[in-house]
Amino acid sequence: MKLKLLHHIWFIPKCAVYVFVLPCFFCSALWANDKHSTTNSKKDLVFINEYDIRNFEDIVITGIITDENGIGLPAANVMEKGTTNGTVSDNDGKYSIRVKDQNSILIFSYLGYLSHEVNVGSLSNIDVRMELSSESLEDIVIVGYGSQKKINLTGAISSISSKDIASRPVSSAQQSLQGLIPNLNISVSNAGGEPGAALDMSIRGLQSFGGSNAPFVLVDNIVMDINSINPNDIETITVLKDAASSAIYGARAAYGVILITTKTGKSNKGRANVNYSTNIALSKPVQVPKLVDAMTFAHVANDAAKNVGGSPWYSAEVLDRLAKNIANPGSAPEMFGQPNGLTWNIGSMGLGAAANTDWYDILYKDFSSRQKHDLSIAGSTEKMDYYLSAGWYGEQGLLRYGNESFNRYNFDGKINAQATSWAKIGLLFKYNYGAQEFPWQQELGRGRIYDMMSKLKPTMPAKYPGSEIWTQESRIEEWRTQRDNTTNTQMVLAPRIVLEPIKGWVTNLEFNYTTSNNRQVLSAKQYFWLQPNGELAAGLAKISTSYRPRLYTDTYLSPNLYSTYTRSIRKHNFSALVGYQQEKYDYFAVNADALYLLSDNVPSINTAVGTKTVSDGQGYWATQSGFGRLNYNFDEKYLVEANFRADGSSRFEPGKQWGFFPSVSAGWVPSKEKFFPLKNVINFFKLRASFGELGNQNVANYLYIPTLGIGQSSFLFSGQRLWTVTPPNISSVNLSWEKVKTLDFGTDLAFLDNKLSTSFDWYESRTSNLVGPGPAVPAVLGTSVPRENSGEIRTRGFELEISWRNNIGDFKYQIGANLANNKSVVMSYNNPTRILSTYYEGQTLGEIWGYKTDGLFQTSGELANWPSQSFLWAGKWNAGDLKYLDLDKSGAVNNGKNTADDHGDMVVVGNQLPQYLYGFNASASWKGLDFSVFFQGVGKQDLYISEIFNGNIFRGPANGPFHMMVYPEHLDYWRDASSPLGANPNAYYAKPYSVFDGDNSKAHGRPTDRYLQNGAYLRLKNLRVGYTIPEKLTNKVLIRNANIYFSGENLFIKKNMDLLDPEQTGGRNGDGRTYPLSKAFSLGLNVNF
Amino acid sequence: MAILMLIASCKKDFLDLTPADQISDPEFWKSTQDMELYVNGLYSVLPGWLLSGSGGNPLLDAGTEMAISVGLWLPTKNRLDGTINVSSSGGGWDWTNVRNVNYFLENATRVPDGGLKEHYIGEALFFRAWNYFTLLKQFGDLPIITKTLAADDKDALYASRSSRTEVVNFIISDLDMAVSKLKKKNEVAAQRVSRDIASLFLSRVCLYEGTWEKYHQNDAFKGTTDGTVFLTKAAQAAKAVIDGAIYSLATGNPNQVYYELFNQINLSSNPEILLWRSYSNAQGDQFTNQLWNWPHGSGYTQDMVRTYLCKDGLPISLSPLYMGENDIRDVIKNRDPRLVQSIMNPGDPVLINLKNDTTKYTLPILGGAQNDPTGYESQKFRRPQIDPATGNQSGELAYIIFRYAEALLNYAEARAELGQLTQGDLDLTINKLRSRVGMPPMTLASITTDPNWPDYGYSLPNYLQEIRRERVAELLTEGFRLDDLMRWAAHKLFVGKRPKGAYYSAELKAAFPNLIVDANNFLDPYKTALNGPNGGWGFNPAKNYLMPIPTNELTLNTSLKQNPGW
Repeated sequence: MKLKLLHHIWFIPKCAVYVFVLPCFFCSALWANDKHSTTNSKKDLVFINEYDIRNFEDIVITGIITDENGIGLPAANVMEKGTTNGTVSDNDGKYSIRVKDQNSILIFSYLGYLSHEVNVGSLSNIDVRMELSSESLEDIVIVGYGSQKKINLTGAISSISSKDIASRPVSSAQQSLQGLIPNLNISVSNAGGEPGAALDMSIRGLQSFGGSNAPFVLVDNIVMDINSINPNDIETITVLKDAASSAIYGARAAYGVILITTKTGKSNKGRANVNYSTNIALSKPVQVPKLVDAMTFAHVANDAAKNVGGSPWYSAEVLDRLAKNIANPGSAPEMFGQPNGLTWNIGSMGLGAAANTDWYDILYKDFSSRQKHDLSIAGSTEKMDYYLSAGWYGEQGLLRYGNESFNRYNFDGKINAQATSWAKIGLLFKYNYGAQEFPWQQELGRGRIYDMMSKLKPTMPAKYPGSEIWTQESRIEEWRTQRDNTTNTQMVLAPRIVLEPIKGWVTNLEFNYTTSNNRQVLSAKQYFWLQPNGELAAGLAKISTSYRPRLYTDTYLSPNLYSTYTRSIRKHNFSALVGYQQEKYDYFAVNADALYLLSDNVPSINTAVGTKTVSDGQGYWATQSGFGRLNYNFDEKYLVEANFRADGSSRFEPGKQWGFFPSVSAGWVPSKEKFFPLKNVINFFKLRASFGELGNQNVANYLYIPTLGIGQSSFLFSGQRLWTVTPPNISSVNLSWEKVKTLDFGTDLAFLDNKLSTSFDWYESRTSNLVGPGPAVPAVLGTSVPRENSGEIRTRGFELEISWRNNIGDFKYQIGANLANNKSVVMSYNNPTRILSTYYEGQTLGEIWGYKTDGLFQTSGELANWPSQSFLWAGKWNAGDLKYLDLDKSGAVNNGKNTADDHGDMVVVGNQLPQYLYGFNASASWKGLDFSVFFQGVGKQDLYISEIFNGNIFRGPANGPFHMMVYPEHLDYWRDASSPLGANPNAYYAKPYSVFDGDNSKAHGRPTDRYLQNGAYLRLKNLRVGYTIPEKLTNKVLIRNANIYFSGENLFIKKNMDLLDPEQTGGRNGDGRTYPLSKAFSLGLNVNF
Repeated sequence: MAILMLIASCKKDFLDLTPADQISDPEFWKSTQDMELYVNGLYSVLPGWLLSGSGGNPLLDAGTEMAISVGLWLPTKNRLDGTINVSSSGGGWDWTNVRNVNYFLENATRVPDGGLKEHYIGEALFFRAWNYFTLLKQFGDLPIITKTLAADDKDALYASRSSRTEVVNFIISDLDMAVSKLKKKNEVAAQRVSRDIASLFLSRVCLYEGTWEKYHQNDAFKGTTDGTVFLTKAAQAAKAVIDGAIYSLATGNPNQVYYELFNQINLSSNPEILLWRSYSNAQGDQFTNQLWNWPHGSGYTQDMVRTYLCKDGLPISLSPLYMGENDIRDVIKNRDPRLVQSIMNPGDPVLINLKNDTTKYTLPILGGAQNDPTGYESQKFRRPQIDPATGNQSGELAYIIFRYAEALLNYAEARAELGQLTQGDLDLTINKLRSRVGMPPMTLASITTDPNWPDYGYSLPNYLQEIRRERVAELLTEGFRLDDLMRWAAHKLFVGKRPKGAYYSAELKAAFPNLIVDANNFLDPYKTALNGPNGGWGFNPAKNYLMPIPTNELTLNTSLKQNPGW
């Protein structure tokens, strides 16, 4: 009753069986007209088209097509150039083809490999060893629910093969993808460079206000986390960017799709092919913060104290002891106890103590290690093919005492059997086990570790006087006793059935079952520190020790059924697809917190005797979808494609659940036209256009139902926490899909015998019905405004890929580059006052509103004549503070009404989104030697890194005593001649105040043009030098092929900002206080038996 | 078979799922138990120990002229210093807590009558009053909202403010209703809001508004009355608590009884306590009272120690018993015992370990952000005993929210402000507080004129001077001082002045050299920290009595007008 009309149209049958039956009629109708159809002979698979063969001379060419390792490639394409005559190889890679005459040219092509041309001449046997390619117009590209020749694509699709990501000393496919595909933006997440950390991904800069804008990732058609797959098992990766290409995935694909195909068994003359590869790396941080020396630190700290009128942190007496300890370590006491004998007189984190400690030297290892081992066995016989692999990746962390690590084990299996001549059955099995171990901080979690590290003063002693016990401030004892052990286990079972009862009509039945069991165990044991009176004191009270397991389990079941019919009638090539999919996702979590461990040696819920609490989380969502596609091309010259998808999602309230997402695209290949004038120079020229609409269902479940959360009171009643409920927010009724409409124009060109190829796309996306916060309303509402579908964002952008490849004798080389950019503007939003506290019409996403400045005040006279800055800080302004510009000449610096129309002196000073993302690579090989480099970078980005108010790394000494830190860059702060460091009137940083809050907000705390940082960078992501040992040597020890290589990761960065790595200005605790990225130097070996 | 499985899963309601781990609103509000679940959450607005992650924990009055902290607790200091700026959003203009109560009151009608239904409604009304009073103290006039608003409730969302007098009348009506609905102390579980608590709170609100409207009559912050009505109501409400006779002052050794009131873990059997908040390490409370964590970054001021009378009932300016203030041992000699029980003196226990060994106080720890700025460390709210469970001093110290002494002080002050104070009133109130600690009684007919009575900028009867002095001595650093300064329009007490610390004696100087002092050799920790005239507090009396409304709110709701002076 609540179902919409659309539902009736597409789901009159309610069930997929009709969707399945419809194409049967469609296909059988075509079949009836095909007088050349045959039934079941294997030969039919070989000859695509029999029409023209009758006219051929009887030259038969046979041979075997193998991969780079000499293993037969099944179903490789062999075409006679300039004709439609062609065949595919059998399971062993063998082929046989009749050609017209000796002038014929054969083109060999295979997914992911460079196509290869051979003049027939007098040869009758042509064996071809294919070379892996990153890109070729003849390539076959995986697309949604199928594959297509790249030449026939009409959408915006980029793809890469295993070669592009192989032999990198990285943990995940995600890491190896960064910079490879234009407009696939991969950036460091808040987890920074933690072992096993995931990265953030987005495609084409598309923005969502409230949902997720992460792309949809499918591995072998199974929804998966991209980091659950071993990069070594990957055969190809395809990124679908425009709506027309991803429309077949409808509501899951609004923000793009990444399709990953894993390796399949290939024939090796009946033998199994065994591959072993390993990579052993040493890693070290790309950049660790550097502290100034202890004496300089003391002077800076004293300057900051003087600026707030406080007593110096370091008295003359302490400075004297410090000088002694610097000159002769241990010659003076580093710290004293307080008169009570209970605590140490070390101020905040060592302020006022007299040690000379190089903290980062203590806390970070010089080198850490990573290793990868992968073993695979693959092969195929006439009736079956198989691929089995096992992989281990182990990474040790960079902290000397953190003992953090990441280990991942993968098993991947793929078995296909030809059950009957028309049915093939297969099973995919994937197992992923990841274990991450990490120091934890009981109260504030992992991120707090880097936060605490940033506060350590160089004058803080590392150990208590006369003992080997680490000071409590160093946190080393805490790291050892407070741990976070996380293990994730994922299992995928995916049976497949492929039916081809009639030539060209293929029906796929796929069941995808995924189950994940994740376990996080947080534990905090007791540790001790040393009191001045010589007694040990508990750093964590026994009563507060804890054991907190969290178990999450989820299951995902998704049957897929789709059916494709492909026909070529003369030069007319058709393909039609219809399908049905449903998904059900179930989530279940149990969390327990148990306090007071009786024995630290046996932490468990049973051995805890304090308060125990248990909570759970449960949820599910489901979708139902029907989809279809029609492809038609004439002579691969005029290309048309249409897609549709209808999706129903449980995330929306009944009546709002269904969405319909259509798309069309078309292409024209003028270079195939007779009249095309420049055939000698331009080998290929295609124009593409596409338009389509997609949805996004990525919002929280049940937002339309008001719910009362269950919690425990913070107030204790008779010493007990009582249960309580939390008031519901206003429910978000009428919520439905976000819609993304994308218009894309693209062109692909190849010049000079295909040596130079390029591809360019321009697009405009309009994201409407955005799920986001409702309009800004007065705070008397008393809760957050409900989410609603509101507003529209327009994103425009482009992506460009260019590559050049050539051979000079045995020397082969390739150079490629890509560049992408985009910009998003809010076209409409329900914000009538255009207040700047939320989105407003005309806003460029990422823009930073701030103030323009004019240096620092030098004298109090200058202050008196300056417009009032009391809006920014009502207290006293001093020489050394920042001068703000009164742009609107109102006599005072302020933000007007804080609206886009009345913003006072506030203006847009920059944009924080990365722009002009690029990558370029070069590779060359000569005989057995190979070499490649890969750079990646961001052309333009403004970083405002003052958002977190305290402990801000950027501000250095301009933090409270607890948060204060001083790096060499911070020394460029304003001071007068009274500072022991000398006057510095033309400083970059304003006068620092040794306060937690307050005075420092004068110069920091709001964005200014002066303190925006340039986030542009260029990184040498990877460099590789390899050598393939000549076969005549390796063959003697039964090794068919062996390659050894050196591979370096993140070896070099060029950037403008000294203080931080521009990729690491975020972090769990904000502004760079995060786990550093690593550079790695690795040696690898790849052996085929 | 595959197709069959597909068909099997093709149910019509495949997409119609509901939450599995949360209670949805229609399934709630079935019983008074549901009401209790909801009301339990409202208690979170009650005050407790100030959270501080950096090891310090300022005194509750820190930032006023009575107690200060360096680097730790700035909102009060900034308020008195006039260095608050208008924020774009937030700024205390938060209506979540009001909505939370309104949501309860709207839905309570769905619960069948009986049981504790009316009592829980009473609790909720108490909390709406509490939440409104919190907003009133910051902003003055307020919109009166009595239902949960929807995002398109234009009339209520974009309304102008009602006058503070109307707001207080609204609070009073909530509290009157709460008093009529709430059960008495012994009829409800411990640490729940009961009838006398609502009455005492009513007297607090009415005294606040009564004195506010009286002393702000001629400035921009005035209400619409002269305050008499509210003062009368304040006296009535406080008297109701006294007459109810459920509570009484805790008694004991005059030299310990006051100190011991504030260093307890459990106050459930204390006759003076109406409402208190407990903490439990075992239940995960962290960063609770850390005043024991020595030093903790705050201390009392010279003004504070000078306020207390001498043992003979005379002010320090007149009493022959006064020993001067060049040494802390002199400061505490012959004074109101509440002084010595409030500040740390040499010989006081700092720590008593499990073997019963006592570490004794010798000197304050001075200088630096987390050290004592003034030389007068707090003894109040400090518990020296090591807790065997944690091996540390207890973070479970009880926090007092309402105690009987306040009822006595409110009653005396309201009667005095009304001009109706009698010796009988004094004997019923102030003199009970005094006799508990062994101080001589106050006699209305013979109040000694203190040449150093604070100058409030307006004339004040001698008995009111002494009642206000008594309020400091009794309620010191229990969080009343800022409110008192505001409602008494008492800016004269601090504008252009600076809080000073102890005398920088040779003993202190030897232990902590190079500290900043004033011309008279008293510690001067705020010497360059304040922004007003003479390096003193920069409070602007035409502006800082109320907080500014965030600019975004003014932009969104044009009927909202900014507070005076901003």
